[in-house]
Amino acid sequence: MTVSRFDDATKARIDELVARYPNRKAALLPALWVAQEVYGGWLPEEAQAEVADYLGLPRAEVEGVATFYTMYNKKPVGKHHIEICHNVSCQVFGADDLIHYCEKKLGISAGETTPDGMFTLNRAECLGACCNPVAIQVGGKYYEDIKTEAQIDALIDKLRAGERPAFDTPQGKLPEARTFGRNR
Amino acid sequence: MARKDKNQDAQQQQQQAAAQDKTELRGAQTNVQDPAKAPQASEEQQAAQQKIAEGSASATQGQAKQVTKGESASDAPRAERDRAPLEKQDAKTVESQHEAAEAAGAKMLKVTVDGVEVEVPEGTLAIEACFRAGADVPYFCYHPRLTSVGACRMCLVNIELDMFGSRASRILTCCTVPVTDGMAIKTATPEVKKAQNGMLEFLLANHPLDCPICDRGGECPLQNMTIAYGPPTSRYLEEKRHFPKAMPLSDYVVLDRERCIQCMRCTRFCEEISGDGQLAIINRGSSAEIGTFFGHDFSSNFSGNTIEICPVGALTSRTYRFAGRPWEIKNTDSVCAACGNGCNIAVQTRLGDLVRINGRTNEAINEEWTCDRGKFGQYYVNDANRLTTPLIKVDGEFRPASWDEALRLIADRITGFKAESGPDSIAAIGSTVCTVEENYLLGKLMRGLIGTNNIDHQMRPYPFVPMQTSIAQIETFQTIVSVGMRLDIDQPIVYLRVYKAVRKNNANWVRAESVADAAVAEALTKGGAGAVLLVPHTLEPAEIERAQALCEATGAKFNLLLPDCNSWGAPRAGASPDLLPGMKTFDEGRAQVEKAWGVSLPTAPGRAMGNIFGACVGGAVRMLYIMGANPAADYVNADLAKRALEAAEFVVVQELFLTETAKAADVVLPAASFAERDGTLVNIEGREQKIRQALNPRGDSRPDWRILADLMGRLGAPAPYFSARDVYREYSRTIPKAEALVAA
Amino acid sequence: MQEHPQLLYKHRQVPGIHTLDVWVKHDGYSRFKKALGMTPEDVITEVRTSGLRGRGGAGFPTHIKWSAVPKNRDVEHYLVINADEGEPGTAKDRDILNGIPHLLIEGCLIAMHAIRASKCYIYIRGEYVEPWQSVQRAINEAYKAGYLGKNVLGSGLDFDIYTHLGAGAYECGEESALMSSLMGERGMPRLKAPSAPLPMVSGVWQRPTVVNNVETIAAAVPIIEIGGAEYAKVGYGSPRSRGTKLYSISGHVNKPGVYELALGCPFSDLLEVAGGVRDGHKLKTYIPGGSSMGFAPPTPLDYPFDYEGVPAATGTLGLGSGGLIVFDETTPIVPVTKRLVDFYHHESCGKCTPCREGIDWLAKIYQRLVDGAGREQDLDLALDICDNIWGKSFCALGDSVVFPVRTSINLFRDEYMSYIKTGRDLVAV
Ligand SMILES: Cc1cc2nc3c(=O)[nH]c(=O)nc-3n(C[C@H](O)[C@H](O)[C@H](O)COP(=O)(O)O)c2cc1C
Ligand code: SF4
Ligand code: FES
Repeated sequence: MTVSRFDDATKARIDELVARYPNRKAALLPALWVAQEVYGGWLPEEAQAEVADYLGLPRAEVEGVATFYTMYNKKPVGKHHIEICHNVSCQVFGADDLIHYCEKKLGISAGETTPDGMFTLNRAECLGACCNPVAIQVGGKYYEDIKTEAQIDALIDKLRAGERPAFDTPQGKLPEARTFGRNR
Repeated sequence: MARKDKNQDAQQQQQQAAAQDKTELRGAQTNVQDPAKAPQASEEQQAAQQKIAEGSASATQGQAKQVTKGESASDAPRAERDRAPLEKQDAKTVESQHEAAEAAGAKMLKVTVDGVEVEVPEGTLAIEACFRAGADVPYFCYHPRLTSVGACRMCLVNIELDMFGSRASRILTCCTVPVTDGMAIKTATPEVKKAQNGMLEFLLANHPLDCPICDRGGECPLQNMTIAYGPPTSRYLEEKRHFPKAMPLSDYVVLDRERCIQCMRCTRFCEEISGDGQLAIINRGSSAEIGTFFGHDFSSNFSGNTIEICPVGALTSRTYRFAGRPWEIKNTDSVCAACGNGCNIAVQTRLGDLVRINGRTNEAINEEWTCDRGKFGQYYVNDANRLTTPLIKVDGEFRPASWDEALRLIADRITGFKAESGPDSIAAIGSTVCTVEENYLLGKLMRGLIGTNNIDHQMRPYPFVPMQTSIAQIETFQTIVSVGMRLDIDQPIVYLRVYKAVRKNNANWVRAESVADAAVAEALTKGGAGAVLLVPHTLEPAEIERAQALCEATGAKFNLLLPDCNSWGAPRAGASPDLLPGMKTFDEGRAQVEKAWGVSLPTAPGRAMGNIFGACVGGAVRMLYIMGANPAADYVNADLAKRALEAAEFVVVQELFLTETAKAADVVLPAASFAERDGTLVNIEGREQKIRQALNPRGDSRPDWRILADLMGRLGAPAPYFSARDVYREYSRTIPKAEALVAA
Repeated sequence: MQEHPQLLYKHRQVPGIHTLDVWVKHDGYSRFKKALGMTPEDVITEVRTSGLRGRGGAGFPTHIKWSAVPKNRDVEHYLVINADEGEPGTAKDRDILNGIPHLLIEGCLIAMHAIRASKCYIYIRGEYVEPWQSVQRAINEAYKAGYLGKNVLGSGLDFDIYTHLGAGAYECGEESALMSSLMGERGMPRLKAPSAPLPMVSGVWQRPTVVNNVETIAAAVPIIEIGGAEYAKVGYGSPRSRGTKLYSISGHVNKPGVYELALGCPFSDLLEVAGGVRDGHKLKTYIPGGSSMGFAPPTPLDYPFDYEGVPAATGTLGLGSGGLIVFDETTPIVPVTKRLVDFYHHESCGKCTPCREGIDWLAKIYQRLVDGAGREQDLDLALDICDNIWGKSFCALGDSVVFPVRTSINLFRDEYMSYIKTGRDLVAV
């Protein structure tokens, strides 16, 4: 294995997660999340090996788990990972067209990353935001009610400018606009 | 329940059944409670019912017939289809598991399968009850030694059982449902047939039709099931799933992911049996595939077993690849010669070559597994570098010779040395990889004909301490301590039992480098009589003694594990300086052996290995006769051995290859490999087992026992052995009594 | 329109209700205190009286689950909250997690007391980063305020709640697969009765475990507040469908959103609260409760919308999770069905043959259909494949694809035929 990227702080974070469960194995999913963060947004072989060794699990088992879940990235992703829901509630509001528009705009197909490493575009299955189609997720943040190409343009421009537009679930759906800090 | 009661019961039921309308008989047992539930009979069913009705009618006239333990399925009054060989083996495994459970006093439950009643121990799965009733159920993911997963859905049957307080009849996978008393199973209703048909259609949808070039073809459960249960044609028009074919996972195993049916047998094997977790399912859904971690080597010592349990040709053997079709292969039941565990194997040969070694079931030893060393490590049998003719060294160069010439030369030299400097100027080295018969004959040659006790076989000194438990018993211990071994490599089958104890019984397995480690004493003290200590023969004698003392003090069992396939057989046959055949001391055994052989045994004490070599260097021993051993490489003091070989005036070596020792010989005699001869091996726990000749010896090579017998003839002693069996017969008359070394 | 008491959403519109302070000001945690004063058996009795059934999709009576848990504390018991909400069309749990997290936590505390659990894991789907943060923040607040932790409110009992983030697998919503995932395994379903003991006896880590949906657990709060008998009075339909239900109404309606309605109200009420079908359009079909329920014909509209009424009136699988998706006449049904088939294809865990291979096959057939390479016999083939999947897959995910395909082909065969004959859709989009 190459050099470990788990520093003491990372290990402490994983240890804290392990403490929540009766055995080390149960902390595998959370630990993979941590590893994905530490390894820059994806889980290369070294990351999976490191998690396996740290939790004392067979490496193949860890690969089996990491590849089962779609949100553990198996290849590098761009700085902004745009995932557009294409399931029925969004589909009937033109999700496919928006995805094609995005593909054209970014010059990549869904599943690819722009050469500058800025954007990765993906189709997503139902994001649980069916009431506000079309739903787009960018690295954990939801952008809802996106129906026009202009909205996409605005979103991508802001992302490109380094802004993370505020959490903008439509008013009336949530009583107040809230910001969320990291709580862990 | 006694068999008598069973029969009475059966008679009663038969009477009940006879009272019913004949055409209703199919459901006689199941529908007694609720005749209204009798299914609408289809044509097919009616035909089956007819058959059953006939069977039952004749049964009521004669003696009542019920399938019970031990009786063959063909006694059952039902349409019978012969099982494919692999399923037969699983059914046999289940039968022996059930017999063991019944003997251990398990509660017995009554289950009806297609109208046939069987009694099975509690905890049995419904599919196993089907086996016992002689019913055919197709299956892929079920395996009697793995936990049930219910993944392939091939074994769907109709099960009527009590669930949540009411009687329910459901289509369920019988490989996952434990039987309950009074459960009724139907394996061939129209609904079940449709399910089976549909499932096979699904499985074949993406399965490549490359059977003609698939190594599994001809012995493939998927093929067998398709013939028996599958749809005759496919409605699948779509492009099949593709993966690169024939991806090597290691030097031994090759994976074809297109053929995989995701039964998870291989991954469960790695998790539950070998415990190395080397294989996993990668990805999910229809893109799921079997794989090792990022394609790294499948580095398990047990990888070969996955090939055998894979029900399709997804995991195949690289060494067997395209080596033959299953129906061209000759199968010879034998025993593995790669280590001392004594796994039962099938040696498979084709056109004079060893093509494959498969595991064979022996519940007492290897269950059905083998290690990779046994499975893949014995192709040396086919090696082109094998010795095929006797060699005689002239002016430092070997030249081929005839057997006659070579044996005459050896006989002459033996006679010469004996006359010149007495019998003790000759010494012999026996072998822990040659059979009991061969070591016995070597001993007889030395002691009975030449008249010296100079014979040994130990490449390092260690005491002969029988194991205090059998291999199978190891899995029952709560504390297991192993010292100084990679158990999975050095004692593979022992390892499997240890891992089983860890996994199934939560046993504590302590691994230590040396007996002196504090952890050893601590674990043994804590474990007491529930502990077993496993030590290799490679420890210093003092350490072995210390380990033994520790066990005595704590009540733990002591198991000294020997390395080779006949490490126990060699001394037992008499290849030790101070032990006669049967491991008797001279005081104990002299009279018996002298009587059997009709000679008087030499009285001068024999030399042990080191002493033999020392005496060679010193000149007291002038001739060395070495059978199946390579002291120049293997003796603890290899340097001394080499000097001895140099110093000895005349060295004879019986070998497969021109080993370092053979190179130093004056005459080299080509010997037959384990696959080319019959004989007896004694495994680490002292169990005698037979190896059988599967091939003709390569070239002009001969089994060691035959070489010795010929030589004895030339030395003027009648040696009327026409087979290894003849030798064994004499050996068993010579020893006082075959004494089991296995405790309990 | 009937009256619909707001039990879960009582304070939903109160600003700041996601914070502990505001929550406590609006009776927050008083129901938990009340429950603590009751015995676990009494809490379960209230739930039994209320007639509460699982809101996660299967509608299993909640009190049966709770009372199957052993009545001792010999080993740790676990409460596991299913917040994996992956069923297309379902977005109701997210609203609770985001907007009223303390309702869930209070419900968890009540349930933990009832089943004698001291540990609870909230399994939140990986995509729900914001809801997860919202819940975690609320949990942190509750720890600080002493509603969680050791010896809570002097009761001598310990209560811990942890969040556990999934990572993108619909299958992990299935109860047993969720348990696998929680234990750090692939999210594959586990054997169930009669093959294995009930999770309430031997669940995660072989210990007694109750898995409940977010909304189910949240409903425990009003049940304790008003009493099981009062709760059971809410509802207009079957005696076996009581209380309120959250519906996430999406698709072609004027005011999509999450609404709380009493069970058994006429279906037309649901349409009405959501502002009716999109202006200028008419109802073509709808999915009553999450995509796996299948498509319902556009009439009748006045049947009681509850566990019994939906399957009886519409021929779909049932009420499911309450994710209503409405489609107007502009909806091309073949691509929509294809999308659902592709979804199940994407989400099948691959463990069992019928789900892995059957859905794979269906997906390929649908691809051919929309590519204009369909054949007439493909429709019956697809229906037969559905028959071969139905009831034979390891868990209900395989079954989930059956109703969308079956109902879609049966209701809209002419649209399929149009694709087959002309390679085009009847509906011009
Ligand atoms: C494929 C599949 C997916 C499911 N997804 C969810 C889900 O996302 N959320 C949920 O609460 N229940 C889901 N369920 C239902 C659960 O299996 C289970 O019935 C539920 O969590 C029990 O909780 P309840 O009794 O409170 O409804 C799903 C079931 C299946 C078969
Ligand atoms: S490789 Fe063979 S044993 Fe392994 S899952 Fe596939 S079919 Fe089963
Ligand atoms: S053998 Fe029963 S499901 Fe595979």
